[in-house]
Amino acid sequence: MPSDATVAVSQDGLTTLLHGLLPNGPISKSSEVEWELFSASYDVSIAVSGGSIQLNDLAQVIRFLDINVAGHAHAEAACDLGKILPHLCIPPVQICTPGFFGRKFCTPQYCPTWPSVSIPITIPLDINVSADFNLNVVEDGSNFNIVLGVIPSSLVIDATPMAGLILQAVKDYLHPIFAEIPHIISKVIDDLVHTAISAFDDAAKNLAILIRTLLHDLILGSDLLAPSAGITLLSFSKTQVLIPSDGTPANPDVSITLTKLKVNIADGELVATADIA
Amino acid sequence: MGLTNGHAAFASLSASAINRFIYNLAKARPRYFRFASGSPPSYLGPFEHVPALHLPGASGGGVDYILEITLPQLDLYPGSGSQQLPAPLTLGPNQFSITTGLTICIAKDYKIVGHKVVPVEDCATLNIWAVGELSTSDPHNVQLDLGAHADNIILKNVGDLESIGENLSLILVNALLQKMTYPVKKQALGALTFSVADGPRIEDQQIKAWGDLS
Amino acid sequence: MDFINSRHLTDRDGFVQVFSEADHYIYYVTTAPEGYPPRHEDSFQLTVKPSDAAKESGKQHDVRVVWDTGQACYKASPAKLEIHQHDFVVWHCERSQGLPAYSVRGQGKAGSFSSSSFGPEAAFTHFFFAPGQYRYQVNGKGSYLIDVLDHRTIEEKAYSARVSNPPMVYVRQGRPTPDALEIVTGQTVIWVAEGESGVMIAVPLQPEAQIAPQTTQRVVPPRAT
Repeated sequence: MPSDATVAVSQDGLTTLLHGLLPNGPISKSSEVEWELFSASYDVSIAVSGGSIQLNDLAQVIRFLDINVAGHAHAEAACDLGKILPHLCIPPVQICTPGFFGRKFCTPQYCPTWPSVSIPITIPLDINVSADFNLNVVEDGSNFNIVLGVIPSSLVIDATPMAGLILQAVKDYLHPIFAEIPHIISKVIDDLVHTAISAFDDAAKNLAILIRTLLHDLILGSDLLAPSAGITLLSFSKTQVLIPSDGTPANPDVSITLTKLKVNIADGELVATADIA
Repeated sequence: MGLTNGHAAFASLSASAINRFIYNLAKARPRYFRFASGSPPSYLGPFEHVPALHLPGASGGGVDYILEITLPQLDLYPGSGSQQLPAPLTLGPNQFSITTGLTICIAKDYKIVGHKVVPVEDCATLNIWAVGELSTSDPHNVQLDLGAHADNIILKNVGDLESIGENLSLILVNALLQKMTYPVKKQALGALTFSVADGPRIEDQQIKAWGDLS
Repeated sequence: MDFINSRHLTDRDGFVQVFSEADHYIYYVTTAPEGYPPRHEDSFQLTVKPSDAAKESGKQHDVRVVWDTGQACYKASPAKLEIHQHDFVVWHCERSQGLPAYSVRGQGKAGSFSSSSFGPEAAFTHFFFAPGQYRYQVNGKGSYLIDVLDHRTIEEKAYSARVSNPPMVYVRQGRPTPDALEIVTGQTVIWVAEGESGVMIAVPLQPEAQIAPQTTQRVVPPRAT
């Protein structure tokens, strides 16, 4: 005996529906962090598009493959260079002149104060992510909703090596600052950069992880991929009006009522079947 | 390919769903199923008023009568086996069958009961079997109306009046079926914006339609 | 552009005083302007002992000027210094960023000294950090050019050669000799008041049009291979 009512959607049809559920326009999120020597504020701004569907009958899972995430991550990493760089006085060796009132006079050195810096870092993002969804029927008052719930552990982000990009940005920022100081030969500049980079290394790795986490949260936080609430893919009104009223008491609505809705994945399709009272 | 058969979406309603719809139609709009002239007895409930039969020799305003259509039951090809169609009726591909009845009562006389004048009735019931097909009012329009046209109707036990009775019954049943149109794009139960690309068709005891998502 | 004013010493400046006579000085490292008594600052002692040695044998003594955060004033280190006749003392503050400028003023039994108006046998030094064209005045008069080139425009070896000699400018009768200089960033200029007293060196506050802008283009100097 066939079900009272059946609605089925193909893989292509689901792709169309799911594309309609992706966030429209860029989405962004920001945060900040503080460590002992460094602090950073950072944000991620992305646009989500594309993707294709794969249905898994056995696991009753919809896989959304290769959703493109494009945008950038931006950070401002701050630190007091005075806390990570050695005390430096210039010239490295005092310069002396013998002709000061017939005496040898060595001029005082100047010891610059290392500044606090706020280093801007921009990381372009262009990655593909995939996620799995399970299906549930949820009643909400007057509707039966087919709800997609992302399986959080399925969200795999193939992120670019961000730590390296962060360190390069720090290097590029600091190098001219050191080059500005007289008496500093290039080897010393390189040494100072190296000292700063070494101090920054752990922070850069942690920042990369935090940015990747923020990106993960941002993608998961978008309506489609919210793990907590899920998103409604299809909504069935329990009362289906087949002939609407013409407004007169003699001709009220003629409807049928859904009492139950089931959903499953079969033969590469999403199939919803309803019982009618 | 499964149910969608190369399309984005598929939707179907079974015969039992349609029979539930017919039941709800009869409950919501009983006037579609009951016609009467004059002042019929109260047991009839809500009805559609029709003029009396004007026959030569009939006194007063004519002959009062009641027509009542029994709740129709629908079956869809290839059939559930619950309806035995009398020959020569057969249920073919893309066809539905309807079984119903028509009760006719005429007021042969009147009597006074209490302070009221009530008709004295003489009633007869016809059993009706019909086979029909789906039709669309506008095939070029995305919105398809499901209308059923019963074009093969059988009456039993009416002797020489069979032919007249069949024609009258055909008119009545078709008039009822015309009121049972609904847009096929609603076949997906409002869950999808569904434009029909193939169908509707009757098969596997369901009305099926295939479409694209817009 | 650097701030240059011998009346207001910063960490890029030095004050040098030669002591040709034996004496005992009480002095202050003060943020108070000249003519005003020192504030709550401590006093320091400088004892100049007599000596028969030749003038040219006089030695340099460095006094570190250090900011005391607790007392919000400058301190001299060492607080008590003993030197010999013909020696000279260099006062220098290593770190003064964000701190007020200071002066060194002392009074002995016979003589006195002051960085606010220095000389005779004294000097004001300034370490040039920022490139640009500096026009300074001596005792509030004149306009004397020091053209400071950016070290990044000069090859490393050539730079080392240039910075090996600190240029000396002698102030005589209120005029500097030489009256114009071309130097590079990282060099220290020494203004010497030989027989002159009451010398002041300052780049006055001027409309921007008269001060050459700091070079903004970064030029990476060619490295010696």
